[in-house]
Amino acid sequence: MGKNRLGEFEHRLLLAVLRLGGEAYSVPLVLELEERTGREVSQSSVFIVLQRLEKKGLLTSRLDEQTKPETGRVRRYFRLTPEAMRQLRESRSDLMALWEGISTTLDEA
Amino acid sequence: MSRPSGEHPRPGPLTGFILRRRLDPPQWARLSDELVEMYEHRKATTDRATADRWLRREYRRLALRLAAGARLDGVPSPTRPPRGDGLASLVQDLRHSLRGLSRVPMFTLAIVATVGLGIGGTSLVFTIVHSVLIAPLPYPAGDRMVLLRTVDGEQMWSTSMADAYALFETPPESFEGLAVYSRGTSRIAQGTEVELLRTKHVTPGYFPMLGHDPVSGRHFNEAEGRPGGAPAVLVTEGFRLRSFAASTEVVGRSLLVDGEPHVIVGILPDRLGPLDQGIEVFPVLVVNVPPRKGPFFYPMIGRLREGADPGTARAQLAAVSERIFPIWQDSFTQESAVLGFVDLKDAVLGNVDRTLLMVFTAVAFLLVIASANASSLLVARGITRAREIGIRSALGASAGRVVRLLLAEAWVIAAAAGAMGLVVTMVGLETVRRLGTGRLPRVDEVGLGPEAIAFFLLVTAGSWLMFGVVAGASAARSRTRAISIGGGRTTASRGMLILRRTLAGTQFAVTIPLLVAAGLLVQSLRQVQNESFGFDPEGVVSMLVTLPRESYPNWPDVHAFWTSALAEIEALPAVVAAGVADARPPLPIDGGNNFVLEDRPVRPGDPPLTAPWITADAGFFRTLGLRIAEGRVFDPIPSDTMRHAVVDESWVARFYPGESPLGRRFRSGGCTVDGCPWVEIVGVVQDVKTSGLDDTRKLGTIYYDFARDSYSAIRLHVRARGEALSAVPSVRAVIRARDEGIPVGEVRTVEDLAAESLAGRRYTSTLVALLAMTALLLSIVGVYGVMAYYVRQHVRDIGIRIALGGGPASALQMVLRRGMAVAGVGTIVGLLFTPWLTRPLSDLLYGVRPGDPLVLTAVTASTLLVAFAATVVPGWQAARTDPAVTLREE
Repeated sequence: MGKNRLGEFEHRLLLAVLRLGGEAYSVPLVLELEERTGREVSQSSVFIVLQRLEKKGLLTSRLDEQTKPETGRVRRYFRLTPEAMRQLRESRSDLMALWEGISTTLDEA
Repeated sequence: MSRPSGEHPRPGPLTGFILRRRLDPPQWARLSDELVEMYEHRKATTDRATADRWLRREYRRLALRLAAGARLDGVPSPTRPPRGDGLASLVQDLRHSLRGLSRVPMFTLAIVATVGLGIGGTSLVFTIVHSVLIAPLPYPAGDRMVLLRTVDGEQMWSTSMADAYALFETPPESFEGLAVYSRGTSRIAQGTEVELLRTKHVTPGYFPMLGHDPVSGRHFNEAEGRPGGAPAVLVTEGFRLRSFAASTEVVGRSLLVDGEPHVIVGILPDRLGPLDQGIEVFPVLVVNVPPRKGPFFYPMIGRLREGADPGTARAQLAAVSERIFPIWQDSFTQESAVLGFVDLKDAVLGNVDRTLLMVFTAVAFLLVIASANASSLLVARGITRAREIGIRSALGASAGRVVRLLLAEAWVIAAAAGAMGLVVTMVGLETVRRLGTGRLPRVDEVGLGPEAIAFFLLVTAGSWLMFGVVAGASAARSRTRAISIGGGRTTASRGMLILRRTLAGTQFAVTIPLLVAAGLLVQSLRQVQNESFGFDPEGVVSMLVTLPRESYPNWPDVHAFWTSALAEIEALPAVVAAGVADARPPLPIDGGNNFVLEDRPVRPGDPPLTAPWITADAGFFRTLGLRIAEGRVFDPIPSDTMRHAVVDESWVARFYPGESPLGRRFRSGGCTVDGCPWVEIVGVVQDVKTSGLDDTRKLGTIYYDFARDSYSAIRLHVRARGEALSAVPSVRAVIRARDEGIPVGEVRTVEDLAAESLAGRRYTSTLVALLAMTALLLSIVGVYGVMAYYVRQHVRDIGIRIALGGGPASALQMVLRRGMAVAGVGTIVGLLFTPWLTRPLSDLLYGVRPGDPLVLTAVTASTLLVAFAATVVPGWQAARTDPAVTLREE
């Protein structure tokens, strides 16, 4: 258990970024998570976890002022870093290894 | 009630506060943009209400996370401020307090005004009390200065020339110095300018003892104070500037004092001590061998030696009076009277200390009320802030941090109140200095000294601490309970409501004695004002006419002048009658004279008989329109050598009850056996108030014949046809036509004099009434605040009550019952304390007793009535509560 271990919500958020093409801001992320999980997601939690992930070096961010020039709105886009990709891969193989052979057991139970 | 599209909910005050504090503006702008974008999406997919709820929840969640220490873009954690920025965080706390208070302007205004008035009032009165009552007299070793008095048991009067003579011959060892003076009015002439001025004759040692040195010239020398010395005079800088060209060298010039040339030997500074306020000309007083023991109007002041024992000093003085008593025994029979002294400060203050202490007490009461009111407001504020405090502490803010926040807010309030208090004090001091001249001794010395400033700071700091403690206590009670950020009323309100009710009740308990005191004083004033003068004042005017001594040296000259002048004045068409006297009823006359009745001699050793004594002519009785009860008044021209007197009915009742005094004889006291002739009583007139309108002693007055005892300065009384002042120009013209050099001054109608004689009483009652009204106003604000708060807190109960069929009337009734219970209990407690607090007033009362049922009833009834009015307003709000709305809000 290294300290780089991903939390569950962090994990999900990184996957959502990946699903959205590797770069996204809070609103599409919330919608994606809600759509996939069917549960309401707190946008403020998203803000805070994105910030945390950036601090951990798993995301980088940029301000996009061109998003909606007519409203002057500014969005902060987050992009996965290679380290994030490595951790995602690692956790996927971990999980796959653990899941091997039990999925049918679980479904039948 | 729909918002235009594009509108969205905003963060609530507390949430918004946290968000703004924890996020820098561009960051907050971006986050809220993203939230709003999400909100619009939700609104489109669900409905507006759901979206509204969602957004509000998001705001709160974000605020909570941030408050709990979550970080966005490097914003510092709230619970761990960086070390070493104590000052910065103090400034931040203060700014936070200012912002918080500016959001509740009415609360802030109410509390600052209430406490500001309280601080200002107490500081003002303390400053006056300190400057007047406590500070030593502004003389060197002022605390060792005494005023010598002739003392006989409780009675006390001034010293005489005989005392002065004896003491100057052999000064008692306990005294460092002694000085004598005599006050009066003199004609001061310089060139062609003639003025009638208050003067004070003083012995050479007087000013050196008081520490007033001339700014130019010198003090009187010893020779000038001895019989046969050259007449000398000291004048003030102000007099010099007024009477001479600015450049003139005045020392060495001559000034006519009552027609006699005096050499100006020195110029005194304008700022003299309280003994000499308002006097500009000080001729030298020569101490002569006196022909008799009296009269007692040569006050003496002295300074005790350092460490001298007052008892020894008294014994030394008593020894002097024992030694001199036999010398003047014939002229003064009161053997029990000895020479003594009182503290000079007490003498200067007179009985003003009682009035001042009463006002001080009243103002202290006001401060209690103001503090109770402010505390009550703070308790209410503490409850509303409890949520914020609760969140802060739940999120890990230390107790110290919370206390610091509360103290910062208390500091902002106290500072504002202190600033207002300072303004109130300064304005008040200016007003007192302007209005107090002549009414308040030592008014020149009233000012903000170090002690007053210390007191002001102490009161301000005290109120700061009190606010902090009250706010802290009320918030601490709520701290553990009120965590919910989402609203809902706090559960801590019940205890606080009881506390607030107690505070409001206390205000009434304190207001009632004040109102009663004011009621009693105002009632006394009314009684005195309604008091009959003993004559019809309509159209009567008095003026002071001074005949120059050099032109009218002897009494036949004076008498001759007045006989013809009065005849001419009475013949004027504007004049009904005219006469002269040395008194101006209803102003109290200065004192009485002692006398010996021929057929009722006083046993040796007994005190002599005394009565008010007025010198008047026949025209005076006519002018006042006095009824002659018996006998007659004076002849215009005395026909025989017998001296005549008229007495009034009280005098007869006192000395010859049930008998006729006509033909009986008395002799003026203070004369040697052969010195004073017998005086025969020729008439009795009705009583006139000669010792003040509020004097009830009925001492009886002796009217002495002016034709036998003429004064150079006398009060001319004229009754005009119609308006009193209408006769003055023609009267002046008559006098001027006879002699240009006769000054006519101090023109006053009897109504003016009556008002003047009541000025002190009116001053005191107005002051106390004003304070009492302020107290009542504050109490009303207090009970209103408590009840309005009660209604707000119990809106649900009231709603249910109405919904259950109680109807609006029951809600109104409920609020009224509670409000009136507060006022009623406070009033009853106040009434219980009232006798104890108003008893010291009894000396100031006239025609009304401290427990006067009328005043008590009026005060109680009117207090409860205004309390009722103050409770009706929140009661009415309660009655209009819509049960549906309140229940839905729940």
